Amino acid sequence: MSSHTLPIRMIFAGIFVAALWISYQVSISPAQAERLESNSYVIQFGNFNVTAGEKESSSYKVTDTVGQTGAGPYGQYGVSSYFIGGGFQYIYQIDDFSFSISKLLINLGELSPGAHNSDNLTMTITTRGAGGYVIYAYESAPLSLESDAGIAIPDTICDSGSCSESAAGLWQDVNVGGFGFNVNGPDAESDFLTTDHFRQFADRAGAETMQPIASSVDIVKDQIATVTYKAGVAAGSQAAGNYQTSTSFVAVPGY
Amino acid sequence: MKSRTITNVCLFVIFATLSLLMANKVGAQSNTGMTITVTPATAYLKILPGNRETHTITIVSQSSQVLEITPKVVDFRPDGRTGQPILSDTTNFPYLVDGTSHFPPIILQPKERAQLTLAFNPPAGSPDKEYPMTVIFTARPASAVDAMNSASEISGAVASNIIVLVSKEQEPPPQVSIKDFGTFRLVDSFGLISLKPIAENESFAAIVASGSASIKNWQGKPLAEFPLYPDSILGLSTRELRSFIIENTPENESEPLLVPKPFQFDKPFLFGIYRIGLVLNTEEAEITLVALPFSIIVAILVGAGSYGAYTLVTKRLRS
Repeated sequence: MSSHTLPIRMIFAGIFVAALWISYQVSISPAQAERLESNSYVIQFGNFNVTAGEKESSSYKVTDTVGQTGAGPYGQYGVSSYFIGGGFQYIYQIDDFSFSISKLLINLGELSPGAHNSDNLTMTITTRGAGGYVIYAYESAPLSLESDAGIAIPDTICDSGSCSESAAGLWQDVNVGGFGFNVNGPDAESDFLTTDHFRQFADRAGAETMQPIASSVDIVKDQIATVTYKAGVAAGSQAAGNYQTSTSFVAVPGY
Repeated sequence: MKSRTITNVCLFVIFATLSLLMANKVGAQSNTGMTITVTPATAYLKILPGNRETHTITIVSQSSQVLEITPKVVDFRPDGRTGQPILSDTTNFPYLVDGTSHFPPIILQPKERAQLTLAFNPPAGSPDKEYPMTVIFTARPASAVDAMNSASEISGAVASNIIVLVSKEQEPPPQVSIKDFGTFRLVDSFGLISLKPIAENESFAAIVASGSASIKNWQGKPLAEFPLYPDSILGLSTRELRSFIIENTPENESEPLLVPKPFQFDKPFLFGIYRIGLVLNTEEAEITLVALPFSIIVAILVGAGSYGAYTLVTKRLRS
């Protein structure tokens, strides 16, 4: 075999492999714009321009008067442009509202009497609308045995027996079992006095109303709150096994 | 022989490298989070009965995993003080086309965006009424995350408010009043004058607060003036008024920001009568405050009372 055929073979081999890889990438790329619709809604995704949000104009300037006397936010029929013109260039109600959760699974480990297990996540929120925001929380159902939903670790009642889904209480006694959470951050509700004050989650299965856990009436940027979950079992009363539930956080902008 | 070995080694390296790159694309689902952005945060939509209008909300996922997003429309009511909605579980809005408030899930790939367009069609003759609603987009991982121990799955939801006014009135007549100034009539000289005025909108349609608050001394000399922040006061509701200052944001100095601030007048020593005036859209009201050194007066009274009690007790003990 002559020496100059080797580089040629390698080149062809490389081209063949590259072609395979490119074909693979193209085959797994997202579908092009897709559209789902009925008479009441249209869901469209793909590449398109965002129609709302900030608009740039060289004629924007600070206004002398703040709107017309007695005017409302509606203006003409249709979606209002009141907050993006007419003297309110710097009111960002119509701007983005962003919400992050650092992880989507809380691991409480193996629960045993005489100890509390905990895990946490962080929530980050950004809103330029001066109505601020509020975050609600709830659980789909109590923390229940994976193999038998009828067996549950009850929501905590804290050390004093008085905490609820709307009022936090001190929970440090490891002999007091239950499931609860704490919120720590500048906008946490005021009943979370310390990182040892816990609430129950509002139980959606029990028709409990979801509760605000953090809020602000001001503009915020990357505001962080840390949510700590805690669970424990009372001695001798709980079936062994893995306990599961799902919890939800709902971030709502102010108006 | 040697050249064939080199060729085989090169091919192996190429395949191994590409295999590693492909493995990252189809790796096991890890416990990463989610980031969702929705636009607009709040919108106002006015509809003439008999007409059809639409409203579009854009949702963007900045997450690194595939998310399943489920939209749902619910009603909200104002809390009477701030602009923070109190959500209901359902909606009573009767004019969603097809009457549905639940929508099929949207699968969002990482960094992908989608739009949801709602259609409203109130029939002719529909009563004038405002409907505050919130569209909640609930996101969860498209594939289940395995939990080895006791655990809680998390779902996050982000919302966009839509306030729909159904009205045949081109401009509904405003009816706003000042319900309360939100301040004590007696103020300590070493304190500050703080207002938390509550405005009431007696009309069925939202208005925007416009006007100012002023503080004058007993001679009528203006001491301070505070513009009202243009907060929305929804129909048949109340809201606490705020003032504002204009701040230049470091990121963009050509685009200043109206930052809400409370009404506070702070002076080293307040004394005498002060008149607080409030102009809200077409309404005007005024109250009078009296500032005296109450803290000193109370301290003197407590001291005198303690001395008097002490004297009385010691006299009785001697007798």
